[in-house]
Amino acid sequence: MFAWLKDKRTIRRIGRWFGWISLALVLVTMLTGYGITQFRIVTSLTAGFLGKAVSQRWHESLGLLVLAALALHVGIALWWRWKGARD
Amino acid sequence: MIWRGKGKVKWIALLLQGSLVVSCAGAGSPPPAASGPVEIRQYQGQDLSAISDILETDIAGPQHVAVDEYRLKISGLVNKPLELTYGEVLGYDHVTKVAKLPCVSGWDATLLWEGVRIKDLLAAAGVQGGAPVVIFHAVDGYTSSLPLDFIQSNDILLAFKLNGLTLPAEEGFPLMVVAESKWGYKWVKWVDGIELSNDTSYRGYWESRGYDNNGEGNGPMFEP
Repeated sequence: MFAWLKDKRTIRRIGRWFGWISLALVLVTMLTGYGITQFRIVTSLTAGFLGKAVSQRWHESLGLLVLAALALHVGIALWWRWKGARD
Repeated sequence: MIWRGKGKVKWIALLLQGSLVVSCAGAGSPPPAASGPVEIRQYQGQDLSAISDILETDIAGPQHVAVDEYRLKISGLVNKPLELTYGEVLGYDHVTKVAKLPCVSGWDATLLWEGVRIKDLLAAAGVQGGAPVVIFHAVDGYTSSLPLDFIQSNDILLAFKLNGLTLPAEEGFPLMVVAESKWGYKWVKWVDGIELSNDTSYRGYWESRGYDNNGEGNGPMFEP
């Protein structure tokens, strides 16, 4: 089932994807942060989709996700370097 | 070379002299003259936040209310609807208290408030039985509500002074609800209406957008 995990390049690719995912999550975290403090601007820019309450709920949930994605990205990158140095 | 031997010592001495001159330049000048009332930053041994610590989170920006045209309307389930001028509101007994304003955005400010008890205003209007909800209306269209019991048992104020100064326009002049122990969205600024209601399902501006109707400062922010 997890045979694909044996391919180091696949793992590296996943690591890169986690980098992009963390970048996207950081941007959404910033946007929702502004959605709390600058709610008038963000609410009108998002046509009412990101109101203050929605922004705040998202913002509070995103912190752990950002950290997890970033940790995986950095962890895999370090592992790749260490592995590359060994092989 | 400049930095060798005596030359080095000379340069260090020059730099020290220069910095001394710069740091002493303002020492002899008189302090700025105080003009008008000064913001209180300590009250009965308690440090207070500055008015400038309050961040702007209003739905339509600061409101500038003309005090001559201002009227506070007390309406709804009351025996005698009232329309009070700013001066008439200030004619009620004044109460001063320190209360912490906690904002859902993550900041808070401990400030000195002076105002009139809302329950005194309501007593003048005569609250009818079966009106458990007090709805506050603001000049910018903002609304929020508090239970009548909470207002009466906690001496909730309608403030006109903040840290010893008349409420600035940005902070709710002429009158602001000091809903101590509640989240900041219950502290209605620029109040121009108090409505007694029996609609227990009423939700104010932020409450109808997901924030908790109880608004307890140490409780949940959002409606379950």
